[in-house]
Amino acid sequence: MQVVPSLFNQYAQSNVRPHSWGLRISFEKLYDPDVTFFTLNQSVLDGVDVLAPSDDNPLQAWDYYLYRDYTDRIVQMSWDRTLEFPYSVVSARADFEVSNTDDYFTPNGGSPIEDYILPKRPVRLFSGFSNMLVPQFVGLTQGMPRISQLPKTATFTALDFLTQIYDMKIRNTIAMQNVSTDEVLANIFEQFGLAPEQYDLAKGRNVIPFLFFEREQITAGSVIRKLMEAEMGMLWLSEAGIITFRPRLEQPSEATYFFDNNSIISMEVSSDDQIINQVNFTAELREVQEYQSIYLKSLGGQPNIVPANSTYVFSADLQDPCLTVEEPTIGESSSVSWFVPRLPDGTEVLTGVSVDSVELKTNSYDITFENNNAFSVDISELELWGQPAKVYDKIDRTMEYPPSILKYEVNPIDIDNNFIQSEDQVKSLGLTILDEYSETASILDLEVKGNPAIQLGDIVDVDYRQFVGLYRIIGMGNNLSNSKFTQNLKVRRYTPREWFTLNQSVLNGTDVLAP
Amino acid sequence: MYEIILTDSTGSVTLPALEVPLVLTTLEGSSDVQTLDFNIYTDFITTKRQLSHTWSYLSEDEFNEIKAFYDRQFTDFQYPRVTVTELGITDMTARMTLNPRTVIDHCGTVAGVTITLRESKQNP
Repeated sequence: MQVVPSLFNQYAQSNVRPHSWGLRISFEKLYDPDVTFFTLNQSVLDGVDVLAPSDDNPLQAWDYYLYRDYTDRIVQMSWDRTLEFPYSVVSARADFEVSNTDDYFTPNGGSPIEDYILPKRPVRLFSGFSNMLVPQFVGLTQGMPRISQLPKTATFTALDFLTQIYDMKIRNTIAMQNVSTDEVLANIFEQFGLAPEQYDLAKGRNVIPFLFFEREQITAGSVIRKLMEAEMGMLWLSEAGIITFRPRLEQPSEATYFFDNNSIISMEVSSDDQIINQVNFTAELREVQEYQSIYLKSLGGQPNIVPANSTYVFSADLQDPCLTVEEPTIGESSSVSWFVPRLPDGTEVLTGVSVDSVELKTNSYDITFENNNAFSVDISELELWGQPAKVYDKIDRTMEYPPSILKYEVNPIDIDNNFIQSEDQVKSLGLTILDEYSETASILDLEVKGNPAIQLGDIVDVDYRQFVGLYRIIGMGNNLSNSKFTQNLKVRRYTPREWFTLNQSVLNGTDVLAP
Repeated sequence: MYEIILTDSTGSVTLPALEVPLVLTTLEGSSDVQTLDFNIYTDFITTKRQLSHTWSYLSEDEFNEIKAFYDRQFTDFQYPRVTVTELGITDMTARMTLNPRTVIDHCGTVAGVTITLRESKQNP
């Protein structure tokens, strides 16, 4: 739950709730380097300073944009957050309709911002009570606005920045060894220009012995989703704009909000298609090997001619992805990478040929040779040394919960994920999934007397008829229109675990061994 | 004495002498929501005022003067402003509506002329 003054929560629970909201867009995408957090008795109301969402929040890159306030033009706005199962990543989306009587948002309509009515404009949505607003969404607009002539409105759709990253290709090749989920995430975010202050990544539980991604070959989303599937924590862009990662066992044990029949407007129990009582894991286990010869080209093969005063790219096919490959140098040698250029008559060339650049790819190592001689040469022999990551075993393991299978038949999920690299990880992940998903009636759809400070992942206490206990918010939708604030929550039954702590927990006590 | 003064880009005009009733309504920008225990709560945004009045009969000139304010909303792209001093309303920007013109004689007399003035913000 976002940190708000107590008066905010009083308003949320009162009979008459004075709603307020805000919309800011930076069409021009200009930066304001003077932005700082709001300081009491120093900052100017409605000035450039940003109200800090909580005490320990760093100033975000999104805050530096020069935003214009379009609050007065809002006709309606909605925003939602969804946890993608089993990938444990959260996507946020916002839709908002604004008054366009003066064609301000109409492209080529003579608007003062017409040159800037373009896709990917930074947007911030706020919601709250009275004069207290809390951030709800930070993202970029998608496509051009939909312009309606009667009524004269413009409608925008925006996705959060994390969702934008998911669709972008990995920019730099990643080869890492013995890394945890948070370290891989940090590497990916860094590639997209995010500063460490823009993300808050807790230490991941899953350690990956080896991973390799070739640049421009795979989207960040496909990597991150698989990473998070193996980790099963939660990754999201918070309402304040901080990318946040929490591992699966770092979960709160107490509720932050309470819903009963005086604060629930409607309730539906989701169908049982969310039951999982069998988990089928498959993965290839790779291990980085000792430094060794990984490629050998001997005399007599296909010629690889580097023309005079020119360059030539040679692609050495690799049997396995490699953590490192040593760059070859001219002249045959032992236990290192080397190459030998020759003249057509077989004479070895000892000078004037060098390696201009190299690129390690998933299945090849591309070497650009440069020949500064006035004659062509043939790269007749080449040996590469490096650290390959070879498949040494496979995981093909099923975990299930028989009592649930007896009641509901088999409801399996297949997880084929090479980031799961140990039997311990399989057990831990399997137990966690079965613990959370093997019982019915575990998901409720609630329309509630909403509070904009509530966040996805919050634990809420529900007390209505037989639905009594703790639930975790796994999806939420908010809408503000026709003078009404609607908040819909999808919640999953939640069992808090007190994990066994060495030298603190009591043997045979209530604490549970962490899966 | 109660009177309605309308103002727009052409200036101010005091409308013909008022009859009764002169109705001032408070419009609620709110929504009552019923919870599962059959209680309600109210999502509240703001309130606005709405003024309405009916003249039994207006001469053609009187009607045309009022109608001109109505028409200028769609040429000026601005709402007129209303003042009823006795009700504490001063230069309240209001969306103006006018009921159908019912001409009842060959002099152009119009019967049952109702204007409604709904408070709203004046956009630039």
